[in-house]
Amino acid sequence: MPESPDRTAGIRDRDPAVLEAIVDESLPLLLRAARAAGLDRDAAEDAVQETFLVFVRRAHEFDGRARAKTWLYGILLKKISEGRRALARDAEGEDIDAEVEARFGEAGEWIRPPRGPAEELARGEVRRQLGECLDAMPARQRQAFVLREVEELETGEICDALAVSANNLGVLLYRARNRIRECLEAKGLDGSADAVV
Amino acid sequence: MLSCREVSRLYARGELGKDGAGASLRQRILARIHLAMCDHCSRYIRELELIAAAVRDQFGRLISDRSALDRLGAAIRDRVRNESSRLR
Repeated sequence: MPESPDRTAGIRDRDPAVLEAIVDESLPLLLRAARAAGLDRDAAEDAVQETFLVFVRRAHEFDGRARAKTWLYGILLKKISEGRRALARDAEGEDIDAEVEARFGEAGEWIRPPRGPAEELARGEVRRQLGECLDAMPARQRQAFVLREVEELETGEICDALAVSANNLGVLLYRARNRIRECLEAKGLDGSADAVV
Repeated sequence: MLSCREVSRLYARGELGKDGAGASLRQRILARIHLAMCDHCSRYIRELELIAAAVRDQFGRLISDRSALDRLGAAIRDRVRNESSRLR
């Protein structure tokens, strides 16, 4: 089913009103599709956001032969399959390991002890930064972390859900926790409030 | 004795937590003793606990909120608007 000439022209010109209408009418469908493809809520939202950005960037190529919705759907599915490849890659190695390791001396003692955002966290002042750190994380680490800390599943259930061994889950959790902690600390939330108090 | 590296690793891997899969009773006891004496490790664990609580809070809001879709829609409309004005 083709798109109307008006809408096609609006898309090609990146007419704000037309683009907004397309976001509104396509968003639920794309979210459901992303979830149905096996993405968790966060990953689904990320994938859908990325999909709309690709749509905008390539809007001038839109020829109206298929509906905008259909085109978006195709972009989304491509995104998801790319994401799967990225996911497979980040299971292999992580710089976070070296980053954490560098904090310890030869006897395993802290040489760069944590100076993270304990006080800010306790007061709930880091919501935005935390969100950014979560967004920046490899999806699989976030999934493992969320299943453990938010959904509070047991180790066996998480291993089943993610199809990993208990040891792999330990690695994912280790990386997730350290990554968030390092990320918040790197954002300048270095507990310097301590010194003031 | 366990080193700081070992204690923090056990905790981050989830081996000292509620269901504590992995760590032996001996390791758990040694970790408790270590934590009683080590401010750095205690701080590290406190931070991880606070991070977990903050993430729970954040996700709790997201899930219980019926307007999550509206917010996502608004965020996307913003990004779409910015991106299209950048390209136009």
